[in-house]
Amino acid sequence: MSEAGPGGDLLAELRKGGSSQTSALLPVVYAELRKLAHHYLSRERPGHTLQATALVHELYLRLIPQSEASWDDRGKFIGIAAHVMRQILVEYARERHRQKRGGDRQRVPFDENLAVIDPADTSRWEDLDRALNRLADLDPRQAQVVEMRYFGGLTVEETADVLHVSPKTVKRDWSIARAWLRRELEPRP
Amino acid sequence: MAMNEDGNPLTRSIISEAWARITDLFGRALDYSANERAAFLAQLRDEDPAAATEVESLLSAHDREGEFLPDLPAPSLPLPDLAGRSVGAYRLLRLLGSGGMGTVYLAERSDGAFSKHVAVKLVSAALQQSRNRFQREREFLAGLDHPNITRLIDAGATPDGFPYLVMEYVEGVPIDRYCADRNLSVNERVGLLLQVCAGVAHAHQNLIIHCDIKPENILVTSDGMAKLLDFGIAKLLDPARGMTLYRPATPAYSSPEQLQGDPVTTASDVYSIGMLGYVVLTGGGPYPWRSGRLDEMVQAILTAEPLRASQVVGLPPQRARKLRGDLDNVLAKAIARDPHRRYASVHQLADDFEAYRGGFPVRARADTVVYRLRKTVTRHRFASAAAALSVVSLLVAAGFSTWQARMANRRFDQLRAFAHAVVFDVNDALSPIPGTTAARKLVVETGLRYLDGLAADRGSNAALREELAAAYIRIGKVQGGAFLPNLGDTSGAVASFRKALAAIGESDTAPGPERLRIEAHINIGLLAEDPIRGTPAFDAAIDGARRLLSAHADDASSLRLVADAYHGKATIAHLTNRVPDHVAMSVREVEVRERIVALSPDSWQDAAGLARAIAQHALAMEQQNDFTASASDLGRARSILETAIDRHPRNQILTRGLAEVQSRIASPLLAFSRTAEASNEVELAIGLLEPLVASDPNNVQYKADLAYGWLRLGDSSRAEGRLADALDLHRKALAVRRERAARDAGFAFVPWELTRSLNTVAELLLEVSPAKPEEAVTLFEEARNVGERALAAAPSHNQLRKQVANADEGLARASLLGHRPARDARVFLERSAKTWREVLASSSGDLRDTPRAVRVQQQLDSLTPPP
Repeated sequence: MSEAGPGGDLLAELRKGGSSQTSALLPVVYAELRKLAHHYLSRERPGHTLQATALVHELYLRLIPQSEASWDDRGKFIGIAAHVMRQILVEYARERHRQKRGGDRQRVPFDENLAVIDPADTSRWEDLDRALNRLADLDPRQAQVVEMRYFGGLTVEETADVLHVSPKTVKRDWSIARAWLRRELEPRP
Repeated sequence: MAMNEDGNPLTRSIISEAWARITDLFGRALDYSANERAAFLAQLRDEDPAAATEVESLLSAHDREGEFLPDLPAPSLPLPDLAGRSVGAYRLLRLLGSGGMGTVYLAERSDGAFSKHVAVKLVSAALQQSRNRFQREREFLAGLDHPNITRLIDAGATPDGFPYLVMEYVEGVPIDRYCADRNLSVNERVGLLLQVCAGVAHAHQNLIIHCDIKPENILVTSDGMAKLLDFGIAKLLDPARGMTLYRPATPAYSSPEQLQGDPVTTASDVYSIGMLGYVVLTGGGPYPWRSGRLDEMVQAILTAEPLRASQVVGLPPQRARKLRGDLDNVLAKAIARDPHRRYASVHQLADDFEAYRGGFPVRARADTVVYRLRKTVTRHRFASAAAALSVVSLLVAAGFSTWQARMANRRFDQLRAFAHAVVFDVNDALSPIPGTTAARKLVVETGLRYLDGLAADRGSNAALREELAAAYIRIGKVQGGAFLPNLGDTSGAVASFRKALAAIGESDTAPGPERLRIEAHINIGLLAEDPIRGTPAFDAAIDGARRLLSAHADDASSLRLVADAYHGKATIAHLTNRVPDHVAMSVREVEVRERIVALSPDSWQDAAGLARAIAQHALAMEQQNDFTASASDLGRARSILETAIDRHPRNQILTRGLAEVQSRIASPLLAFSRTAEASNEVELAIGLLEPLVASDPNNVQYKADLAYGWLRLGDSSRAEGRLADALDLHRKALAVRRERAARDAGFAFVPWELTRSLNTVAELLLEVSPAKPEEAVTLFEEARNVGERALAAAPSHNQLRKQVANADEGLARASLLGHRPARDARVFLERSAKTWREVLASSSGDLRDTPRAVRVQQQLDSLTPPP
């Protein structure tokens, strides 16, 4: 956490541009989202629930001064945060997988976040991550659409705004990306 | 299109172009109707067979059913209160409560079709397991129609797919509270049990076993109607085999077969009604839970000799007399360990309750002479002549030849059972309840007198000595156990812990005595006046516990000792200001506590232990200026405690732990300049602590906690520039700390906390009215004197030493403000600088220290004329 009012700088940084993979905001968003995830994902209180994507939105509200931010800023920010969310979940999965294998006994002592990853799902997360990287080689925008829709919880319209394309294009990208991913991840027997 | 791994940019760009074309074709195909699509694909196949195959393959993947992406984890946040919203035809009015899988709202029909209130139960976790449970409860309730069972009115699902149940709203209180509040007669209580029997019997007729009968699940309305709730874990009975229940919901009321995972039958509900009968009729239970820990509870249910209902400790004598005999027998038969020895049905049990009420003989009879003998001896604990006569006549009738020895043994056992019940059961039952510290001391002392007397008689009895030692440890904790609700009598506590060691002796190395020895050593170590002197005790404790663990690696009670010892070592490292040790020891403690929690996930004590360990780690992080880590630790500790409190809402130890963590969260928040949030957290903590303090005025720990809260709030006010408020709060904290120090200066934390408050109040006074430094001077001097005196006995206490250094620095500032000669200030600053040098020489790693020491040195340099 930066100490004094970092919001303004972040907003400027955000507007400077750069894709969700290259933005200068990445490290900040990464640190903050991890912290937020750590705080919330580790709470396993019955009777309460929140979608992981809501974390991404909450982070936006926390970091960016809302009085100055535009709708466009929001989309951009959430695009970045969605990318980061993907990284974090895959990291958890990888760590969890490592623990499951028990190969490396030395573990981070406090990270109970890992518990949010169903142990049975660890390899699915890693497979998804690899498949998304391959999809990004074919068409980076399609991979971004998946990140924004799935990890960031953006609607088709919001995604279209961020990417400056039509909702129809987002729909098509989302459909083909899902079809392609399904074929990669769920090969027919 | 399979992606190859070729990194050649040219190849990649060709592939990207090809993929863009596929995307375009795919997109067009999607827009077509099925017929158009077939024609489109046929044409494509003629032009470009490879592209057609690819598009077709993607379309078929697109059309496949089911979700293939992994579920995103659903983390938890407080769910917004849904009051005011509508669910189906019902408007939610207010939250009634939330439990394992759902939240329950009071609701009414929103269309005004009828105005009756209903209860709407919403599933709140998007877990399939909860939904299944919900569905099952719905099916069960739909099949039941009985005045003693809550009626299902409606059911459905919200638009986002969460199922809900609409049930009859029962405006009532749990059966045990109802009886206690109205001080019902035994007959009235039996009447309520009969209603419970009627509801359960109806469920059994419909082949449904409730499986979770307990006071919380039986509400009694103001007109005396008992209603059975929560069929959430009920089972459908297979009359041929019974059912297997994997996880008993409430161990204290679960039958032995339920606990062991054996098939559950109607006899299990008979058992639970029997346990309920104990609570309703006596306010207690047949088994002394030594600790409330699940493993011991289960052990007792599976092996211990149940107390007769009339023997439950604390019963009013009049009621005990009414229970003695028939009701004793009825309940004993209901909770027989062997299901075949229980009543064959709930009807039979109800018949006996009826018989009792009508004054007829009951089916359940004490069946052996031995039993009657025991009962008689119990009744006449302090054998009078008449009692002896009746015992003798019984014995003669039974034809015992060795009656004398047996009688003596029985009396001994009974007395011991009594003392045991008093020291362990009553005390342990009281310990999580607010306001009971003084009562616990009385209880434990009474029990101890009996045990002492018995030990004098039977000095060689190893088991008795063990019990005695355990009792001394308990009383020590009540007197002055570190960080526990206690009476602030450190020296008395240490004496009791030493008595425990004396009782247990050195020779017996069996695990039981060994554990008690370790526990006593740890407790003595925690109270060491000079912190460092606790070290050998903790090291020995760790060695001893490790020896025990080498035989059973997963022995939770030994692991707890190891964790306690690490906690002690972490505390020493904190007080002596050795940060690397502080970090290392708290990390180890957390690791051990995590293992313990994994072994006994249902234990609130262990959850509290884990939270405390994590909070200790947070302290170490703050010494390294890592407030992000500290905030994250404290957040985790808080969520652990909140989860435990959800299950044990009135548990004072958990509540106190939560309050402490919330006060502590202020510190990282202030470091991030989030003063408003800091104040908010501390105010919440204070809100938790005030009722605890009010209910238990003898308990010094809670007062100290509350003072800590005031201090934290004062820090926030100070950060916000509200100096007058800050001063008020710090003065209040100081008053409490003075009072505690006047009574008990032996505990290393006491003088430290006092000096800290003295310094803070003095500093604030200087800030508020720099022109009048007199009072500040007095306080700084007091801090100095208290600190110096305590340091003489506790030379390793570097935290205290820092306060002495601060007091001297403050005196220098006051002296300058009071326009005294610079020479005076120099003397103080020299002393402060010297103390800081001592601190830095004997400690390591606190990143906040060096700047403070430097600051003092700089002030000194500015006063010293250049040579």
